[in-house]
Amino acid sequence: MASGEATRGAAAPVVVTGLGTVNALAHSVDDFAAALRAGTCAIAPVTGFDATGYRSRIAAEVRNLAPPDWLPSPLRRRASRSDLFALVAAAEALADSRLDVAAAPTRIGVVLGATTGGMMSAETCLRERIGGRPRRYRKSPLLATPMATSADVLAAVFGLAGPRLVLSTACSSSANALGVALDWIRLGRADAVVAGGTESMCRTIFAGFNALHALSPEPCRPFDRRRSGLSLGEGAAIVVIESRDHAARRAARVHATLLGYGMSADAHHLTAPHPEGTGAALAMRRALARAGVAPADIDYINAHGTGTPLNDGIEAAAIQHVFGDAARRLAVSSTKAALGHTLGAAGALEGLTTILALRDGFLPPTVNLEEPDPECHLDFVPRHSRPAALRYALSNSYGFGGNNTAVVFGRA
Amino acid sequence: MPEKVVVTGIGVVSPLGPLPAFWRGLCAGATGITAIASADATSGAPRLEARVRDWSSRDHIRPALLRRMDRCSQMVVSACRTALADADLMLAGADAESAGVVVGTALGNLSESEDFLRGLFAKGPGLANPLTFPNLVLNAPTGYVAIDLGLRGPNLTVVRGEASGEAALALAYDTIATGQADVLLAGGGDELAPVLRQIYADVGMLSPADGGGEEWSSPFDRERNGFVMGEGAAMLVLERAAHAEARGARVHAELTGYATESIAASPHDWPTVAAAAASGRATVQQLAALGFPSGADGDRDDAATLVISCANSTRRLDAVEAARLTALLGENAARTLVTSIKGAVGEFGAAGALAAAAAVLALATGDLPRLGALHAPDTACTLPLALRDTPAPPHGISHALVSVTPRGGGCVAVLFRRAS
Repeated sequence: MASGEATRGAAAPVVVTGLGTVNALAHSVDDFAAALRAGTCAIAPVTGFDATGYRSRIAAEVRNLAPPDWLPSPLRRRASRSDLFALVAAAEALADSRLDVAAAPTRIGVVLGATTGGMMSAETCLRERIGGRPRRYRKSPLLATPMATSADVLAAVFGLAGPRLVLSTACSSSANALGVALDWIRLGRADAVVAGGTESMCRTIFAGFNALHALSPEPCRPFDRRRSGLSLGEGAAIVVIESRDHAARRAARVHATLLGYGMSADAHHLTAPHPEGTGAALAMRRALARAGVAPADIDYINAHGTGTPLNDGIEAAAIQHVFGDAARRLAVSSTKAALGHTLGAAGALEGLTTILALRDGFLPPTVNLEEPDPECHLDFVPRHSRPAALRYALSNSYGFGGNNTAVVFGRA
Repeated sequence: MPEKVVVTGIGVVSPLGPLPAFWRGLCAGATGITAIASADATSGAPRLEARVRDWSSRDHIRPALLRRMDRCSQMVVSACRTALADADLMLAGADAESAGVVVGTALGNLSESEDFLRGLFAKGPGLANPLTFPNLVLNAPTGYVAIDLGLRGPNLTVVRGEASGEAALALAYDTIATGQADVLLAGGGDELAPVLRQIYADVGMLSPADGGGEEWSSPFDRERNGFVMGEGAAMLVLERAAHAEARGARVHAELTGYATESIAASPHDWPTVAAAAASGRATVQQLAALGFPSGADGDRDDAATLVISCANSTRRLDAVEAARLTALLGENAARTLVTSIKGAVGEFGAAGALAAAAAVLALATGDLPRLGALHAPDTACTLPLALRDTPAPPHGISHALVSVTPRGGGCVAVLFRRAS
């Protein structure tokens, strides 16, 4: 029955065999890798809605993405923007993996992280209702609003009939999705999993971060002395993961290995990180322990690095705490300087960035970083990417509610 | 060898009231559905709802935290507090360091989300309330649980529409099985929001729009005509069996595991009855591996099997569930009783968490939730239903299955077993 039986167990190696993305920098993985190396920043004036009156009017938006021709017509009308991002990214990842889904559909799972789903459409519906046309607003987008539908849409379109889940743990959502996918493979619940995250901009999130004074008027500058807040973004990243044996049997190309993840909670405050970063450190320690990788073997950390004064300082301190002397030879960078904070998709987009760094042998830069914060004694790879042969890498994601996740990757 | 996970505590905030009243009401076939206080009888708007009762968040949550907390989070935190008290478990030190929480919610804090947007549209972004926004995030409840109880382990929120409660329990099981926690609070919560009721009314899913007649909720009834909106939260204390044993805990039941199955469906709609009737094989295979009785078993005792279905009194879903359960149970249907709690607590995303609490209570007590409103079963439904006058099975209940067929067809079935 389960062809994954032979490799079941906590230590079964799990590999990444398919990559896909849609984001503000690129509509494909190849273009994304090139943009990361070039150090491009995608943060620009908001076009998705009228941003008049906000503290910041910039964001990293996905531009010029039309529903693909292969999308069935009911979905062309109904799929939310988040669903569309997930569909396009998943199509690329599945094609890249050359996985034959139809051969064993019930053995292919799907798990996504997301935080707002089709909120933008729901906001428009609500505004029309408030505008006094209670019975005449378009109802159909509302059925596509809840973010649970993103996984349902992928399952329906690509015939993924294994376990299905959507996690919504704010900004760590899709880091946790990668972790759950890893567990499903190791527990034998699936032979392969389509995993990642998707997020589209909406007014609620923009207004919320605006009200918290968390938005930066300028493109965000993680780890810079003058950092003043975050920039929002949108997009999706999807990966295909499977056991190494399963990949070997079908002679699949392996981009990287997914070694382990660790979760923790600050148990401190809903929006402010723990001042000593104990939760962040705990998640990294748990991830390293579960991955069986020593701190000294980590060459690169893709930081949560939002660009808010509080987050970056605490994260840098937590890294120094966990890595000790080894922190001096680590490279640490934030992809949010290029892609903005994509919330539910951030863990997956930054996981993808980490995979590309390991595969292609380079350190993605922290773009916009001009004056590294003297309080943070780390190499933040300012502005320009650098070639580097990396053995192991870790990606941090921290969410509202004080939840933290770290994911450890290795070279293929 | 699958990991053995046990349920040692139950906490409920429900339209029937807290735990004792919740269970008494379900067994008696009572309902928590009442008239909406402010309903305008002439407007055509729904007049019934199932709102939580006999619950005061102040009894459970300290004032400093309560002041900041939204209503959905309050329900979830209250359920966690009562579940831990029921489990006689104080989480401190190393226990708190690894203990966590997994919550399923379909929509979370919907009422304040609406208020936030109304304010934004009316007054612009400058006056949006920074204190409200963090509470709109779907994982606000799990954040508050961790803060309230000092839990530093996994902190997860799952969103699976009508299957949110079941999906949370499934993920919690895996999280213990992979060694990431010894103790998890797991379940779900959703609140009743007027805006959601209006949306469901507009799309014609609420009673009586889905069939006509008087407004009511009666799953599997021939005259069913839509659902009634409900709300509530239920949280279970799940422990690795060895952890519960080491502290001499009372075990209500065992969480044996779960099965998943995909039935082809439009992503935004339930599967067809024909597709549901052709389903079940994958679930049967997975459940058999967990020891779920099948008709072919030769040496089983005379204890009954209970299935708590997601049937919600709509024409479509109840027919789909009847077809699916008929296929899934096969010959074992004769020793099974099928029920639903939606006539008692209404329909909401995390209702499966309340169904799971009911499943655990059924195994612990031998009694079962009854379909109190049911007059005449749908003739197309041949399942043995737990009716108002159905007696408790003479040899107790050995297995209880919580089954959900959500829109999009991603089915989950969570299996509990009587404590050994």
